[in-house]
Amino acid sequence: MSNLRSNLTSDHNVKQLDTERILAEKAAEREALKESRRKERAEKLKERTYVEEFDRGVYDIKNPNTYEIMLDKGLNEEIVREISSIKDEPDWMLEKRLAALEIYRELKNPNWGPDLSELNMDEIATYIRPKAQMESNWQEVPDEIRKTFELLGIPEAELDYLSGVGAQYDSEVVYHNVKDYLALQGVVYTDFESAVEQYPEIIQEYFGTCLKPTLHRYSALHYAVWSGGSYVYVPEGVHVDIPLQSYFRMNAPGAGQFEHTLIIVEKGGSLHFIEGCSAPRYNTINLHAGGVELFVKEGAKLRYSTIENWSRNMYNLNSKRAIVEKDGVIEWISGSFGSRVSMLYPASILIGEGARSEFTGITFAGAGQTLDTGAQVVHKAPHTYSAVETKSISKGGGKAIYRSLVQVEEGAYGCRSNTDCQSLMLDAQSRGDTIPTIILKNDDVDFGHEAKIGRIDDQAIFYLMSRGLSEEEAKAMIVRGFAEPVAKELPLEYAVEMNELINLELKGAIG
Amino acid sequence: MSNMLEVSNLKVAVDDVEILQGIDLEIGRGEVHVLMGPNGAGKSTLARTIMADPQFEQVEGDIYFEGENINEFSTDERAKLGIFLTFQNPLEVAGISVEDFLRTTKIELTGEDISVIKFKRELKGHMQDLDLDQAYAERYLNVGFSGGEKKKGEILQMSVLNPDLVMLDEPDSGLDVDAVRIVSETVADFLSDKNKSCLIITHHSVILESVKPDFAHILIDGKIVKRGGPELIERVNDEGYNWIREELGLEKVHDEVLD
Amino acid sequence: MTKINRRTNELRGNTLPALTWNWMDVNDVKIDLQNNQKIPYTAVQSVGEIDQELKHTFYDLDHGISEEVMRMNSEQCNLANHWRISDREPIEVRLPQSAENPLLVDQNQIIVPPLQNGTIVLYNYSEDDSRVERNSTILVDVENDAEINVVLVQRLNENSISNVSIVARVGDGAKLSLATVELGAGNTVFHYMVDMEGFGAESHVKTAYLGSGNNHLDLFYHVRHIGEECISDIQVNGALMDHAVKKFRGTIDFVEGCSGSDGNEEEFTILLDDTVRSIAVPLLLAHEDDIVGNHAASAGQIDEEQLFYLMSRGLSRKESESLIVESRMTPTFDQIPNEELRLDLRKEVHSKILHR
Ligand SMILES: Nc1ncnc2c1ncn2[C@@H]1O[C@H](COP(=O)(O)OP(=O)(O)O)[C@@H](O)[C@H]1O
Ligand SMILES: [Mg+2]
Repeated sequence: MSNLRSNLTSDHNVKQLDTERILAEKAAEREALKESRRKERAEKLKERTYVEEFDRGVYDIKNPNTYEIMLDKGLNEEIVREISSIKDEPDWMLEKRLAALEIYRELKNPNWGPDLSELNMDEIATYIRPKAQMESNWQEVPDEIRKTFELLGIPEAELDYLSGVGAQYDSEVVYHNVKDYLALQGVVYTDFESAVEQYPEIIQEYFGTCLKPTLHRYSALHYAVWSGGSYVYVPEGVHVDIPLQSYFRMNAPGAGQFEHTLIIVEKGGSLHFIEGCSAPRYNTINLHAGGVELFVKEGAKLRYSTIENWSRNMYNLNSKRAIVEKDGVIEWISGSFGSRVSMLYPASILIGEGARSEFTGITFAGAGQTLDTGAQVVHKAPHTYSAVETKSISKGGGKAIYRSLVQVEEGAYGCRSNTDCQSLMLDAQSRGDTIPTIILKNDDVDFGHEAKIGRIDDQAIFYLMSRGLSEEEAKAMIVRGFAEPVAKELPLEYAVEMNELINLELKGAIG
Repeated sequence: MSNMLEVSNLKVAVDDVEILQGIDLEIGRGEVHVLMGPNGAGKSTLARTIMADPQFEQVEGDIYFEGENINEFSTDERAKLGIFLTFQNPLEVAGISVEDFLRTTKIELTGEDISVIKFKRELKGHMQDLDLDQAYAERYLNVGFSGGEKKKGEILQMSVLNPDLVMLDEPDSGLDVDAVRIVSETVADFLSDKNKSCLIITHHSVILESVKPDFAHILIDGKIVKRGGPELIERVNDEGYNWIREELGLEKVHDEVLD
Repeated sequence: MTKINRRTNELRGNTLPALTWNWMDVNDVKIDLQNNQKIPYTAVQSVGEIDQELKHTFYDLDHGISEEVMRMNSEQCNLANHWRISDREPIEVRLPQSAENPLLVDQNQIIVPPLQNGTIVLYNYSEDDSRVERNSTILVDVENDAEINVVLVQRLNENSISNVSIVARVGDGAKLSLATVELGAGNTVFHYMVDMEGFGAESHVKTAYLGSGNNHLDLFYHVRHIGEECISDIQVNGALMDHAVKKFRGTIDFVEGCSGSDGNEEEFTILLDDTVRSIAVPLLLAHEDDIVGNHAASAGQIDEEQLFYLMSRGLSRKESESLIVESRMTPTFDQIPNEELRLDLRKEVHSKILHR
């Protein structure tokens, strides 16, 4: 009996020892594997070098900060009234501003997304009038301002490939012009203040109805202090065959730009509108809270392209929204490169049967940047279609966040929607998040969504290098290829600009 | 006068598993060598290691190109020396068109700027030789290409980049009869320049009828086990590899799938 | 007969790891648990002894649905199980509820020691039409080189409330497979959080659901890649009919240092009625570049081609629909070792779709 028991225990001991041995072996194997993988990764990491800041060339040229009027920093009723009186506005506009100010005071910063705590409205001047009048002749624009725009290629572009140009410098538009033949067809392209004065009924009917001041804190702020921007009207059936462009330049430090853009494309009309933004680099925080309202009527088509290259001290809290009627088409092309923090989610509200929205976006977040971008689509009518294609790249500790909404309402039958978002991370310090929301409220939908996140495939690099490209070039080529679907949607000059920006960003950064 | 390529005692490992176990290979200028062997023998591994694929670790041995030891050369440096590999499974690279890609690489390799128009003309000629549609140049590199288009694309790149040593890894697999003929002729034409050398990996005799190899090497289980001339190729094509295994006292493998 | 006492203040839980627009109402969810006192559960006996220290270690990782729900679970606990898994027969625990047992507040600890592997099935169901509540916590500790297959099946009646939090930790070379089946309860709140701490740890989740009547389902997953070379996937397949509402919120979180990790999430919803609501919030959070993360979601009606093919073989439209829905759920059902239960679930899905 006692013999049997001792046998049992020794059996048990053997089993115990076995387990321990196997575990120890496994652990040792794993340690070795871990060690070798770590070494490999350390090797890879060593190969990378980073450049924190780089010269952004012409974008960084600063002019001395001379201005005619600069209102006190901060925000209160007095300042809002002053902006209104400087602009000699009708009462209804002042009332809208004051109502928006009330809303602004009630709303808080969002509890989600990037940290906005550094943004202090007491430190921001909401209105700065440059020493210039609105002109329709470049030569009349003051030298210094004209030179800045010339370096950015604006007047040349007008001659070559645009049908109209607007240029805003800080809070006021300094130049606006549209080709005669379009004006003869009834196309209106003017700065927003002139529109308020010349087309009060239309502005009163549309202003603030697409993009409401209640949307969020910074849309309320926008309506309280808006200044500058563009108004475009395309009459029924008119096709504006070459693009119109507005360029926004912020020169003053510690300031805000709050331009308002309102575009109406009537039945069957079409338009391509381009918006460019840039600012030199300062160490104080600047704020951009523009508002864009787009009305695309039955069968009309509007393409809205933006390439945003604000400097790294900018909080870009811009709001854009389009209402699209039956069989209308809105196409958003959006490139986000600059700014410290961006929160930008152009929205398409498809209210007519057969309306379409296509969004193509690229975001490139480098050191110190948090770019929270994406798109929103609300399908309110049957047989509407939406497509979202985005690319995000993050590098050097930058954060690129893709955030979106696709919502299909009750009764909006036969809708189709497709999303494809890809994120590329160029190093381990960076972040790439994908935060989409999908809400479907009926069963007759065809919905698909795909997202992918990761880094450049080593085998792809090897393949390109086997053809003779250096590692740096191979990577740059893959990143350019990654961005290509967006680049090909941009006008040539902008595509070139975007590729230059990518090269600038990547130069010496990888390889 | 040294050989164009010389590989000596090359040992290659992946995750500490030795795939190539001491390969010796010499390829002289103007020579065509064929590398044969069953699936998984290590043929692609050899070609990719010569091209410095980072997934393979060269644990021992040396690789010389035109007398110079290139062990430490990176992939692109080897390409610049004039070594070229057509991939068995070419990679898809989205967003880059065939034309842009080739022009960029050509400029990179030659160091000369080539005008867009001149390049287009040259590319068009090569594409016609390969019976590729003109739209092919505009399409993204290998994205959505059929198997045949990918293989032809690799040969197109070879023609355009004009290397000295070409390694063709199964350029004829998965092609229809016409495509095999076109690829074979293009390669044979390329090799009619007696300054070019070639290492071809294939399981089929058709391409060898045009390309006419001078030497054959049989690779089994990571070792070159037999060398010979065209007669060796014939015997392998007729009888497979088992007779070699028998000669060497290796275990026979039945129902060898050659493709 | 025992009765549930009502609590008064509103409870919310299952908060997203990264918040988004509040107006969409996807950041968290309302919790319907109402009981506020301890009443016994008599259907089965507790197994083993709860390890209090372990419990606190896990609560430090994650609070399940919410801190308050965890506190209620602690206070009202009426069934406590602790298992050390070894390589033997699968464990199957049946947890019936009825007018006799209107409340099940269970705590479960599943410890899988090194190199062990096992299967455990927790099957919660209604025996009658009475309203019942369940508040469950399940802690799973998969130690190095161990493997566990956890299966949760829920078939409460539609008057009832199901709240389940599962919090898991996976060690070096260890693997956790989780299969969940949600076929009942008017209000379902499910929470899964896993910390893949070990080198090469794996988490595989498969969920099958059928939302019918006025069911409200909240399916929440948070998969954290912490160790190097971890592999995870989440596959959620289901169908919605009547006025059912489903929220899928899945996050794959690549924590800095999880190099070489690979994470995938896929969600497919079949929409059977005009009145359903399908919400999806699939998050990928990457703080590491040497990873691959993928997400795919799709929603729509049953493919007409497929229906046509099946109907051309002589099946009715509803038969065919049901077959297609079942086929989507098969991978999840296949994880259930008990064949009888598997058939039973299949039958229920079949008859629900046939008789709608
Ligand atoms: N990246 C890799 N990781 C692990 N094993 C590999 C890898 N590449 C090749 N191998 C293995 O090496 C052997 C040789 O492969 P390969 O060179 O492709 O053979 P062949 O081209 O002769 O058919 C095979 O057993 C293959 O599985
Ligand atoms: Mg091969």
